[in-house]
Amino acid sequence: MSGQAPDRSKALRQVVDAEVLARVGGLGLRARLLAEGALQGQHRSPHRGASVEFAQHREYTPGDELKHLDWKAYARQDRYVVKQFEDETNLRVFLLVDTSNSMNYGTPSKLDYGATVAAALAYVLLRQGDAVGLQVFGNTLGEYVPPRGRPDHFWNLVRVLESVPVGGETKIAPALEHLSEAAGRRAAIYLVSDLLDFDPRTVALLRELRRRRHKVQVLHVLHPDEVRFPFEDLTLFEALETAEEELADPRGMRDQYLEEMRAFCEDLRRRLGEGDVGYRQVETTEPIDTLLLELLGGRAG
Amino acid sequence: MNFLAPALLVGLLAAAIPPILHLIYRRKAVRVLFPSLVLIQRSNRKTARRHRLRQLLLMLTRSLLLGALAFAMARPYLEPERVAGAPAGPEGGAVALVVDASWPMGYVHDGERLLDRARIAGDRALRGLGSGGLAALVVAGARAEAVVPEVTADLDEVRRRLEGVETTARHGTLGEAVARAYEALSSAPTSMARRVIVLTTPAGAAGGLPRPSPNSGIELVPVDLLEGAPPKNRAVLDVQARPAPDLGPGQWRVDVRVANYGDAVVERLPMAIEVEREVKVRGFVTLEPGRETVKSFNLGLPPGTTALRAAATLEPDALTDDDRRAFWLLPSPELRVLAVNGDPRPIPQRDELFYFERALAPAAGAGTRTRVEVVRADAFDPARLEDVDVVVMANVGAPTADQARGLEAFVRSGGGLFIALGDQVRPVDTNAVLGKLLPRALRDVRTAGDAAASAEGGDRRLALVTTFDRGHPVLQPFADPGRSSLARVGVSRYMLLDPSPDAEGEVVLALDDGAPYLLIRPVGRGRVALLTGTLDRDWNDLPIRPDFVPLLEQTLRHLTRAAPSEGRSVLVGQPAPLVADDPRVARVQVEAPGGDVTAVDRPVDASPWQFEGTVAQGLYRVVPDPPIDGLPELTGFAVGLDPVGSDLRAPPAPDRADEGAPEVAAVGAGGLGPEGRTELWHAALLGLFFLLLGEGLLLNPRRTAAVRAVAPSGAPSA
Repeated sequence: MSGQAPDRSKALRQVVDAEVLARVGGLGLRARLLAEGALQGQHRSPHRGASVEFAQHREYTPGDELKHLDWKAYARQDRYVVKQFEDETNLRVFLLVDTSNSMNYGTPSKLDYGATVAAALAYVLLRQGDAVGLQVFGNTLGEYVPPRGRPDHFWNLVRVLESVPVGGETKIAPALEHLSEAAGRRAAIYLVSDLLDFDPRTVALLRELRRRRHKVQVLHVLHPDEVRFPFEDLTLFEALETAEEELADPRGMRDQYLEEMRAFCEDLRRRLGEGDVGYRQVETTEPIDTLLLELLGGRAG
Repeated sequence: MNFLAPALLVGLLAAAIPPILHLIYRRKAVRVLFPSLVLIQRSNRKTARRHRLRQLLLMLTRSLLLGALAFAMARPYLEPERVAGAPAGPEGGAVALVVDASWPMGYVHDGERLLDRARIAGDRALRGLGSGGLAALVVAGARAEAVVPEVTADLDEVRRRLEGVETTARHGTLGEAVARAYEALSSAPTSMARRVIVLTTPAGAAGGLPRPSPNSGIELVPVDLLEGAPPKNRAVLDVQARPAPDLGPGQWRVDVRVANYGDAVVERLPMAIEVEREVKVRGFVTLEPGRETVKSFNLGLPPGTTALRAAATLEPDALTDDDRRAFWLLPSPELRVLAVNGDPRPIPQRDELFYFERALAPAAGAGTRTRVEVVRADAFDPARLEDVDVVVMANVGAPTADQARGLEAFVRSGGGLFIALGDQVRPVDTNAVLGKLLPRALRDVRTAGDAAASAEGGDRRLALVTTFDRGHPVLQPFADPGRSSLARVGVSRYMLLDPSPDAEGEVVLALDDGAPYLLIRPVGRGRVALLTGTLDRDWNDLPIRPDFVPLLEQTLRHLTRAAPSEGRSVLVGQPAPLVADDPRVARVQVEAPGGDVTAVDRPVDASPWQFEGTVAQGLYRVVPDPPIDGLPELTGFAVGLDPVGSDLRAPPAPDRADEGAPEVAAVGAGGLGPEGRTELWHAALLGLFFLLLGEGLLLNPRRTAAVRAVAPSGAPSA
């Protein structure tokens, strides 16, 4: 069921604009197109100079980008210094993407959708000068990409998102524990998951991250089948993450299931809201550009 | 509880369909991979029991639905213990039920056949007997049959026999059945009250049933199952079909006698003639109440030798059996004519038989299949008449003694002889040799316009045909001979006949001076026709008149000893005569309308050869057994219902039996109709409605807004 990187390029055709799809090859390009499309006419570039607040000079160290060298200061003081701006240096963003088996449902799968959202977010944030890191997880911790602010870092993230194998059960807590150590100072954390392993420990960890002044946003990715339960005939349901089976007559239990799902989502919203953790339920049929605008608007605010 | 259509209760088996379908389809579950089963398991645990209960209820509801439908269609009803006005058996007494099972009992009134009403009334009468009663049952069907011949205390057995009664195609055995009922009651103790209840139509109830002997103590109670309602029946009573060569080749005339036995005028009642199950002609007829009329149809069919099945139909009414009457369209038998030419001429138009031969050509085209052979008078051999149906003597001077003897033997054995006169005929000689065959003796030739011939004619040079025997078969093709071209035939000369008060034969046509023009006389088994004119134009212009053709064709057919061309028809129950001229046919097979085949041997003695099993109306085929090469299909016959049965009305009071006749039971309101019993099918349908409602509720339980509840929310809350 897992272990292979799926072809996410084809799977996402249902959620992106057809005209865009015609020009899209891989996840990276697609994320860029989605992000640029979403921000067109609404997002002001962070590189317009005058609009960015100057913070301080600091000594040049190898590895700094040459374009940030202050040549006038070099002329006056005969030493290399680089300019630092407030926005560029303060925000680090961590993307946590759930790659468990349960995310491998539907066409496009929940993972395809979540990975695209994560990549598009990363593209926008990197263009703004933010540092973006990535942690993928299933039942164990997957690959970790430390946050970097270089624009070409985007392709490091895309490479991981495209190649990450699907498998295992959802275990969110270890990923959050790891992040609480890696995040360090104030950061923004986006958790993309179907939250099937949402227990008190997970809630506590998310609240703890928020208490440390991290901005925490949970994206609860659901397939329309989970939301509407459109099955009719007698059905043997087989779990994606376990070997469990359940024989049920969907017509007879649909109302009860929808009620359970509604209560589950409401409980999530309430408990996360109490800890000032952002919660957004999203279906895999929802246009990503709209979602991006909404998420970035939240950040701006 | 009783049922009007108990056979439909077999539909109750349909109640087993839902459980069977459930058992068939229950294991066919679809496999679906799903992200998480937590919510499904939780929901399933909460709803499974309720859902199973709902499914069970749904299955039960559907079973009940089908069962209730079958129950309603069987038309259940509750019978009241006693119904005012209904005839009942005397409590503790004896009753003999007489059920009319003739075909008019198929009349439908208020959605029920009269026979169904008879069953209900009979059941009611049996219940009126109470526990100590005795009953017998007589059925007036194909024959009067005492189904339960002696009174018995086993009323359930009588009831079962009553349920098994069905209508037959016969009519007219009711009187005999009533007499059998009196016999059946004779076995009951005389100390008991005894009653004969006759369940029949209004006509049967008031139709003069045999009365019990005065001292027998038996009461006769005829029951009008129509409860006094006037019957509304139209019927085809009779059909006559014959070729109509006067209308052209292949034309037939079909006369259908129809009647309206209702109490209102029926306007433009649709009728039709079907041939081989295909409607060929349609028409309308307007019928006054209680009147009969004849509707004529002209039918064009391709000439052929095959018998065709045909039927005259009316628009169906309450009694459908008599709305259709079947008949055969039989091709005329081949007419073999030997014409003796007494005045042959080298110029065709002046030949004695020039017009005669040409006149028969279109008749052959009309399906009469006439074969004419012409010989000279001196070549006429009376020994060669084996294969001849009719001999025509055209202007033959005087036959020889041998010829005359041969002709006489020929006619007496069934042959036809047509004698036409002319200048060659010598009256004295002809009278001498053919005196035994001539309708009247020839006297001398008269020329029209002679004062002696016609006082009224005065100086007129031609005599006219003015007298017609309109009822004679020879004139049957003519609707009104007086308006036909026969009335314009000009006769310049004709043969006077000796007046004879005891002369045999009929004058079919006569001239304006009273002189006979065409006479026909039976001789032995045959017939002789005498035309006092000529077959050519020497004495008259008859041959050039259009109606010469049908007159000649019809006359020859009338003279022939062959079977008539109309399909023979008998009534149900009557023996049908079988006809097969060919002596090789010793046995025939008669195929009834229902397909039953019966072999009938030709009797060795002189007794009539006939088929007795005419138990159903319709067309019967007759074929030789075994088949004989070259022998055409034998003449079939049609069997029709007795038209007397079509009139269900009670005869008017003066026509009824005299005083002392039993009074017809008044079973009006509260009697036999649906209003006299408690019908339960309404309740069954109401139950059906509620079951449907229940099924709908089970299929569509309360709608929730759960979908909206889990729909994506707005902006992130953090």
